Amino acid sequence: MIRKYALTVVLLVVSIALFLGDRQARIHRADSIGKTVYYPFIQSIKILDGISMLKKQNLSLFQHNAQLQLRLRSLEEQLLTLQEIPDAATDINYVVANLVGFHGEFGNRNIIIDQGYLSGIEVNNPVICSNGVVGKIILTAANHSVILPVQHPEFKLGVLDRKTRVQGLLESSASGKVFMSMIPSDAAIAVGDTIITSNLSRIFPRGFPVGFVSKVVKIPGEGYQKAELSTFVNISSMEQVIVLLYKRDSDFDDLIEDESRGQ
Amino acid sequence: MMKAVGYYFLGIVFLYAQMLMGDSLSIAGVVPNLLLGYIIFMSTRISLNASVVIAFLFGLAFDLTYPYHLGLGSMALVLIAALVNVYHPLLNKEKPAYVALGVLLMNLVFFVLFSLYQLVAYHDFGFLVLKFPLSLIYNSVISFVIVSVLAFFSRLGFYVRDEE
Repeated sequence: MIRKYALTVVLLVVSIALFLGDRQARIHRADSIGKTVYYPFIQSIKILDGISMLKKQNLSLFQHNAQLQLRLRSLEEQLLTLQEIPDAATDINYVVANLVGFHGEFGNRNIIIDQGYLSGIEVNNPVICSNGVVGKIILTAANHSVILPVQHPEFKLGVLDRKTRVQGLLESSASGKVFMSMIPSDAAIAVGDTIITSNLSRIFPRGFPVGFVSKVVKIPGEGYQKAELSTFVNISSMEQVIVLLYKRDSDFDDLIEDESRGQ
Repeated sequence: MMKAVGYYFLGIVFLYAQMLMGDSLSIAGVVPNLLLGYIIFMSTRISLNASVVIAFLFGLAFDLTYPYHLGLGSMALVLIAALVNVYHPLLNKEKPAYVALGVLLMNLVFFVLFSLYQLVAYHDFGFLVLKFPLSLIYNSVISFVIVSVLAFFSRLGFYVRDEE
């Protein structure tokens, strides 16, 4: 009987002996055992831990790499946009103005800024910010002006898809959604495409970024399709805007008007 | 003897499974002990001396990864191996209810020992109230699954033949 359980008792006593003492003593003992009898086991665990850590680092680096790729793509887009802005546009005089208020209901509100005709601002001057097109001036006072923003249903603008060069008309719905309409049904416009101001605009110089395509809406039986846009500019988080003191050459418009009168 | 060596190698598989998969199987901070099920099953199949030696070796290996309670794991596993080895012939019926009850009792022995340690060393009453029931239930389920799977494969003669 005693012989039968002798080994069990011995092993229990050894276990208790290993357990005795304070935490530091146990850690010290474990360290000694790990460096001698259990050396291969401890080493293999360290190697496995190392592999696990490398996997985590690899995943973290992969995510970081993905973020950098996205950033690079965004910077490339910005660079392309800047390259597209004609030299003439960089020579345009401008006025920096602060937003001082809004006018109208939430979906149809206009923006009020703290610069007016005393700063050289005129009606129909284009307004931008660092991200892209904001709107146009529709009213000026001595020291204040009112901007009609892109998201307003009355705002219209000639735009084009930077990748496919397809022309279209930017307009907004009453709910504030922005669309590019009048796109030929065979145009290869796609989600993610950047939309910029076109030469057909009578207010903006060519090449200013407006937004990107978030949804393409095909209209069955129609010769046109339209694209829902996400604008680069969020009015709610804006503090300052840039008013371009830019007026398109009006001789062109007068010529067209005279021509149509003649006919 | 060969049978014991076979179970020893099977134990190595469970030890590394514990190290590699233990954390990913945790629920609410409770990491299951995969060795428990293996020790319970192994102790029903080989002699007392062989099973307690294997239990001691793997208990100590497990303790080395958590050196704060060095000796406690090996003590618990040796005790469980001895209890199973001695008492299983009395209740050696392969009905799931008997197996489940046996597994639950052995898990109770294991977690009572660890809870006593937590209580004495850290005055951690929270462990007793919150983690003890979950640890006991979760580990019992895991152990039951392991015992059942090992019994199934043993019958098929996949790793160690029971017939000698």
